[in-house]
Amino acid sequence: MLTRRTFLKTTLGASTLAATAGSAGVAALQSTLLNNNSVPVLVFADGGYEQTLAFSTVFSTISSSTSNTDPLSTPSPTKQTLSHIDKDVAAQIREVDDFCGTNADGVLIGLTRDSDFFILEHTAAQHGFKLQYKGVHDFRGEFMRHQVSAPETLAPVLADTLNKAQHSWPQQLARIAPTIVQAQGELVDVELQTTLNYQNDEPGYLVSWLLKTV
Amino acid sequence: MDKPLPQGISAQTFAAAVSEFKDAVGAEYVFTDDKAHLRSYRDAYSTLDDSNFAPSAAVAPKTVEQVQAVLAVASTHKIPVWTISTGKNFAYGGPAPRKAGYVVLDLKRMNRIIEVNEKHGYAVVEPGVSYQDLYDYLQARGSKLWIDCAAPAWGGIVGNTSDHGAGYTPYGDHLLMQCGMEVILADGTVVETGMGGVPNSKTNNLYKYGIGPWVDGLFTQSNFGVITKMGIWLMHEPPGYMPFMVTLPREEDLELITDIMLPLKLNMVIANGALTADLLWEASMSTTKRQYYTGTGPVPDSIRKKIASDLKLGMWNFYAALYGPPPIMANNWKIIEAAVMQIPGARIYLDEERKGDTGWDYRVKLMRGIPNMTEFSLLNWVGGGGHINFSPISAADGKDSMSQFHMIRERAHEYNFDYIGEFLIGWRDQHHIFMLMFDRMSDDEKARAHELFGVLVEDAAKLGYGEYRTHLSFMDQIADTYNYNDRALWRMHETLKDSLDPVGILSPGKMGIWPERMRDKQS
Repeated sequence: MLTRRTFLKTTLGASTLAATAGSAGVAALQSTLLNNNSVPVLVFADGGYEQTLAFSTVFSTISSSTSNTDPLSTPSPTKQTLSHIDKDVAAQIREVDDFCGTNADGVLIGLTRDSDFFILEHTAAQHGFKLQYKGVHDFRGEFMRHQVSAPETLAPVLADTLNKAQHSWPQQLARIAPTIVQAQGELVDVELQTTLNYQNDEPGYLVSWLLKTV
Repeated sequence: MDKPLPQGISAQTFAAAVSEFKDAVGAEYVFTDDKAHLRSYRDAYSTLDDSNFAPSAAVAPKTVEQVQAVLAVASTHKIPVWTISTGKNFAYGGPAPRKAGYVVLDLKRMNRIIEVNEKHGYAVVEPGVSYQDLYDYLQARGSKLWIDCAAPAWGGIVGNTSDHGAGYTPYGDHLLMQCGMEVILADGTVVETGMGGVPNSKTNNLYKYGIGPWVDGLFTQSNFGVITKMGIWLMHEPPGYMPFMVTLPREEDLELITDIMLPLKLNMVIANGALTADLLWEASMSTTKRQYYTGTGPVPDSIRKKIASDLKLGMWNFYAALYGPPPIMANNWKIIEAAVMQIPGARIYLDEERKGDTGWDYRVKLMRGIPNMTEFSLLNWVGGGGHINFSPISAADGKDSMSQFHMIRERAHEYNFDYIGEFLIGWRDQHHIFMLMFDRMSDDEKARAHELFGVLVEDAAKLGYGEYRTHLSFMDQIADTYNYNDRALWRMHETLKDSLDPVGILSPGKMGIWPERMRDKQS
């Protein structure tokens, strides 16, 4: 059971995820961008929203399948650590410090409240980790808006994919994370909004993000 | 240009200085790569583009000797160095220097907890020690000492104290609780203040004043030296602790609660850093603006009332705590309860009624010195993370509080921002913190926030108010409001600056104090 804020420490086998991406555009990108390496990943999800829980659940599944079945992943052990932190991100600053200090090739991914992003981004920045992708997800009632800042090869496709995903946008975001990891270039902004085919019970404002070393 | 050079310094001179910095501290602790390292020394959350505060390099010494060596290099080449401890002073500039091109003197590697004295209740720390670090250290050793922390756990003790920060326990006046400093002057001289002037002093961290002039304050919010060690008094764990909250239903109740609480503070019936926070500050701990209001501009009154009702908050919310032996607390509680009940509609909450509420829980932690990061939830109110604090001092007086509140709220609404604020009650004053929140991704919001801040400084000065602390962008403007007798106070600061740092290398422009060689260029 995940509580308000949870993180998973794992390795992300990029090739495993290629098969799960829902958009043809993304799949095409992946075919050119993915390589066979595993990347150490620290995933953050705020446990207070159904969207963030859905996001973290996909990573749990990926972690498991990567370690067991992906013949292309490196033999580094898959680690999965759950940390239950209630409402305050203070305890995770050290986790970020430790991870970034020992995994210069690693990646931090999150779907969190904006304030948690602020704190974690700044902590990681001191280890040379830089914003590679950010999405702002604003949802209320039938309204949904995705503002995406990503490398220009990826931004429009990513925004379109999230937009079409309707209620499953967090899962879709998690699945295409390896593509974001591989993408390079200056960040460009794309904003899309749509009318949902369902109602959000609780309005919300979450940010998804990816940090890696330059 | 991504990475500027110090003003008036050639690329050749800068390269020579960087080389010598590397000799002084080791190449791995001199940072010059803008994208890999230096971006983290900018203030991305200010109202201006962060390139205005972009450093040319950062140097991170580990020891006093290395600091001395860095200052010698800076002095030789006239390189301005901007001193930071942990660099988490967000809302006031974070780790960024006053001007683009400065070299950041980053003391975060000086992070030793040198001494903890359980009997006399003090610690001696280096600048890189955060509140969380000291708390963890004490907890790991089973100490019965409490710290008094700033709201963000990652703040540095030396940095916060020297920036006149405040906390929420009875030890909340941080500079008052400071005792003993080690300071390195611009020429490399190491000075121990107070009783530390006596070799092998046995009372360095017990008595603040020594003999002769007491100078510790000169090294706070200033650029006269580099503090490399500080003694800080810690509170012995009291036998009892009882936090409480009072919700107040009307905006005008700020006047009543302030006047009712002043005698209780002066008589130390309430001994801690009590505060009165407005509705939206408290609401932002557990909700967001968009959950209630998706229109533009400030939240309308009708929506404010709904927020207050839903979250069981007042238009103002007073927090304080009692400490001490239970019989004394019980007696004091009778006095407080009777005083508060004079306010129609006031409601008192204790722990059993609010436990689990995010806003309550973090205040309860802060008032007993448990560091946390919950207050950053304020950033979720509008999203986008931008924030800057306008921090005038008001009297602990009801009418004065209302006057400042109206002054700021009306201007904030004029510029389409919410008023989000709190009054942190000192001995006879209040730190009035207006948290100006904006979306840092919006150029329009940043520009409006910047203009609003400047207008507020002028408005406050006209009414006889000054700020106690400020962001890099407004240091000069605020220094200019302390202009009694033709800026006599700041002219004295400049005399001290020129005497203690004649080359002008230490944090030029800190709080509007410029060295002689750069003074005219700022006007």
